[in-house]
Amino acid sequence: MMSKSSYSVKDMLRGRIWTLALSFVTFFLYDVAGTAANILRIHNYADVYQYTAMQRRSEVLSEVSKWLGVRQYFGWIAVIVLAVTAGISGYAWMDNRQKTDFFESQPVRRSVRFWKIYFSGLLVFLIPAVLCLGAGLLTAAAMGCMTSGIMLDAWVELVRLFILYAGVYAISVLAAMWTGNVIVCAAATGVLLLYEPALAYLLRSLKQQFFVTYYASGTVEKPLFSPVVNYMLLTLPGFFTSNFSRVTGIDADYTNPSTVNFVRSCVRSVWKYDALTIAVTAVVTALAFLSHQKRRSEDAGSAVVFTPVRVITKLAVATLGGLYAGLGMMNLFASGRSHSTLVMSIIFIVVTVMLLSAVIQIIYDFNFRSFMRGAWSMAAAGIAAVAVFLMFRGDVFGYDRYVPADSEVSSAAVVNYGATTLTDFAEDGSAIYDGVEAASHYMMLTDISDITSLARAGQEYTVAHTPEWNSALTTAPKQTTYQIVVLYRMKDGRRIYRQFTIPADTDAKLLDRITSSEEYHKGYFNFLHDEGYLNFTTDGRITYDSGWNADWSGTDGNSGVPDQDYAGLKQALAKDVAQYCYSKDREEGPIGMIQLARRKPGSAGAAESLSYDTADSLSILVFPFYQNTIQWLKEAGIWSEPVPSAAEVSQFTVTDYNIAALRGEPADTGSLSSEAISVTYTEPDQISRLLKSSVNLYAGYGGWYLFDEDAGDYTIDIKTADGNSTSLGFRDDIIPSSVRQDLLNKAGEK
Amino acid sequence: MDVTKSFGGRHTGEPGVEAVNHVTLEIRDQEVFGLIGTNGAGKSTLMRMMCGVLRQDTGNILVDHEPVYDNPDAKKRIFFIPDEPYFFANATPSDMAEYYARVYPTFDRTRFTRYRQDFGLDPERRISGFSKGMKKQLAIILAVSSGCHYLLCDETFDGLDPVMRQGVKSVFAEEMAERGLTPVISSHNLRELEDFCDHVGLLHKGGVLLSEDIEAMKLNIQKIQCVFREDGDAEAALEGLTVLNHVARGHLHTITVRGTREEMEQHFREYEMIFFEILPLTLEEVFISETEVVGYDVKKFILG
Repeated sequence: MMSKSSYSVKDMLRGRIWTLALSFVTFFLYDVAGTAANILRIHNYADVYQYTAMQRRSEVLSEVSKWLGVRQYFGWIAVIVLAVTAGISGYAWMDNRQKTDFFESQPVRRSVRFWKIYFSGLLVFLIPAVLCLGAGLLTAAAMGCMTSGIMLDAWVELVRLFILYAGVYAISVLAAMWTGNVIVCAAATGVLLLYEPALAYLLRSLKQQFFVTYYASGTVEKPLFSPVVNYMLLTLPGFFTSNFSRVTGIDADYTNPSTVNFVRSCVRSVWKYDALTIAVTAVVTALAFLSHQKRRSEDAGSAVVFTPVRVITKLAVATLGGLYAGLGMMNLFASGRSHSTLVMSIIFIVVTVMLLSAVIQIIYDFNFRSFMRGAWSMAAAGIAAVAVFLMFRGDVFGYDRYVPADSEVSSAAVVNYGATTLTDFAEDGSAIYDGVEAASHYMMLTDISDITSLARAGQEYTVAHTPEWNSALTTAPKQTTYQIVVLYRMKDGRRIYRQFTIPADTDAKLLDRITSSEEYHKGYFNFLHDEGYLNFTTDGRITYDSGWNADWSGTDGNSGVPDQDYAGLKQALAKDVAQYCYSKDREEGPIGMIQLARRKPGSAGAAESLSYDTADSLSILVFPFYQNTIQWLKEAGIWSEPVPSAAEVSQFTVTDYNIAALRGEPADTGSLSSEAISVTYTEPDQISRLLKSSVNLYAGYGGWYLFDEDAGDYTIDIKTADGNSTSLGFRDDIIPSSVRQDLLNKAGEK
Repeated sequence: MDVTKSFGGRHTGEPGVEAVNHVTLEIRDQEVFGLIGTNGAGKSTLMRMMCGVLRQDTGNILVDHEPVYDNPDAKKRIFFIPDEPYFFANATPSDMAEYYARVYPTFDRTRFTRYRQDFGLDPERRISGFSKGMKKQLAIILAVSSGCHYLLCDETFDGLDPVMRQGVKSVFAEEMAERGLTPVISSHNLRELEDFCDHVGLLHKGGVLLSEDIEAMKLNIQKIQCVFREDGDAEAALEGLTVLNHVARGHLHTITVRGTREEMEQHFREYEMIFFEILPLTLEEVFISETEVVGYDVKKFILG
């Protein structure tokens, strides 16, 4: 009996000697030389700027963390390049008849050869990466820059990089199986890697372009299967997912040295995506193996080996390219819904599809003269691209008309998107800067019929007021409408977002029912879900600002009062917000803001004077009907009236920037005049009268505050008796008639 | 058996080119099998199928009753030397021997060293610096050292100088005698194989025109030159014979006829001759005669 062939992975690695060398050099430069150079750089910097020992250590640890850990800047780019190189080069012999004859004639089962090459490709990453990272960590430790957090962070990152590498490598191998030429294989790898992100981006862009009720909601439209995008969630958190940085806490901890908790938080945030990449890798690898088994040796040198792959690729790439071309044309003319632009876009789509199909066919056949071969697929791609484009353009599936049945929705959230967003906090203490996201997190409205009623009215109004020539603008004057975002949490687990405009005369009772509910309050007011904030911050101070007193920012670190009685304040607030509803907000508007500033653990100094990365603040608007809160503020000695008294004001100046509008000349209402007219009042009686018509600037922070058409056309500048300057606004932004006349008189004099 | 293989047309729906068209061949142990045909006749395709590089579209290719494609057990008995053998970049003969020793369990390092020395190949010199002939020599040495039973040589002898050809012949002879090596040698030039093969298969346009033992072919065809005393006897003498070719120049007749030497001598003894001689036939002439009978002008495609 013959002994078994000892053909091994080592033989395969021999064929990968250059890739292996490239891998070693890359990882050595990054992990060892790069780490050492960064540490030396920071020490040099610390010497020049005379850092304290603590600052120096903190900076160095941060730098090593960011260099080797999950926040690393560009090591992953090298990993992607390496994976593509290993994937393509490992199977490049299949594209060469001489090498095919050599390998395929040997007594080695094809499947065995496939897997040995495959695993040798993984070793090309693993061996150098593990050795060099080990050496890099030893180097850092030898230079006094090592903590358990950094160690864990670096190895976790290595695992994530390996997952990324394996995913990209598997895709490259699949491309190698489907093609018979190295250059075509590289192009195919690019197509396979980028197609889904490109498609996701296209769909998002088409929705934004054509659907007036579309709301971009962060992770919802993230490409699912892209190993690169899934990896980048931690490295470039904002790239595809606007709110992922908050989820991971990377924003908050971006500059700090890695800690075990930070790494745990990162792993918790991304493990599902990494698992998805592993699953994608497994499926792609299986597909690559099956393709390998079906592939014939005589396919060496041909562009694309399998007929179905040829057809699907040509259709998919040409259709996608055509749609991008159409979208580009729409954006180029900035008049997305005009008929002439539509015609131009369709022509552009057809031309692009023809061009791409011809180029792809030329590549398939390696023959310029065959550019029209497979004309049916060219036509099919053209028809598909135009059809998809028109489906979006015409909203064939009723995206802008969609309102779910009440019975399908488990809960909902409503956000007045035009209102000022106050920072919210998640349970893990990370900041939420987006109002919609905060509502998504905390607002669980269960009276669905009110929400769908509001949505129906809003969608009808929005669609009706959307001019044909541009979906981005509405004909309704902005000052008399509200921008609303609704989130439906469906019983089947989906989350559906819609945004629309509602007029100011929308059924007030409906809005009151929604906004007066406890569920709305719980989701809307940040201090009613402040556990995460309080748990992850420590002692701080409470300040109050009425918008015109100069002491509000508390930069001296001594303003306000300690937060020991925050519970008392919260109790007062809770009583007051029970009365909150749309009508009250609209009628009265806020008069000031409470700020609770607390230190993050480990930071020193007064909380309200620290920077955003060492302290967090909870801001709370105060309305005139917050009597319990106002009483608490008065008792705490930090209360300030909404506007100064006449005795405190020496000068009251109103400046108008749109006299034409003031004169009632409609032609100029849309633009500000370059000529500004000011009138100044110094008489105490005049000032007293004007102050009664004034509000401080916090009035504009109210979610439902209505701006008059004068809004934005004027400013009020006052000088206080102590010589400071500040600004106010007129109530409801309506310039009093006497002031209006004074301004017109002044304008007439000119 | 009844093997077909076609290329192209898969992506267009058009019919592909039939490189091998219903070929049935049997290669017997310890014979040198010559595969003759023009470029494009299907020799390389057939060889690549025989060694398992290509999978046939239809039919069976069996080595010792086992299918070849993706069957390591069968392929251990086969070594394929393509027209342009591949060696690893920067490899030396020693490196390649090490590699093949891992791939072929029966690889014989001693044999490799002996043949390498006989051919004067430096074991540590980079193969990329070898001449084309040296690379072919090395490929043959590696092949016979692999311990394979069937050695498939695709145009391996084309371009070898006479001395080397003789050397390779000696190697083959030794291997055949010692362990029953069965070489299969393809060439587009019949003269390359004339002194080499026991059995020849002629491929043309993917099909087998003939497959015969050379000696049997030679024994069964005779070339006769003769001058009849009476011109009228010529016509009578050819009656009843299988005449493959007959050329008369003046009184001299050159006749190629099927039959044994003895049969011919007996047949022509009945006629009065001025001159009669049975000439030795070259393989080339045998081929020309055999193929012309079936309508092919073989000179055009195998006598380069």
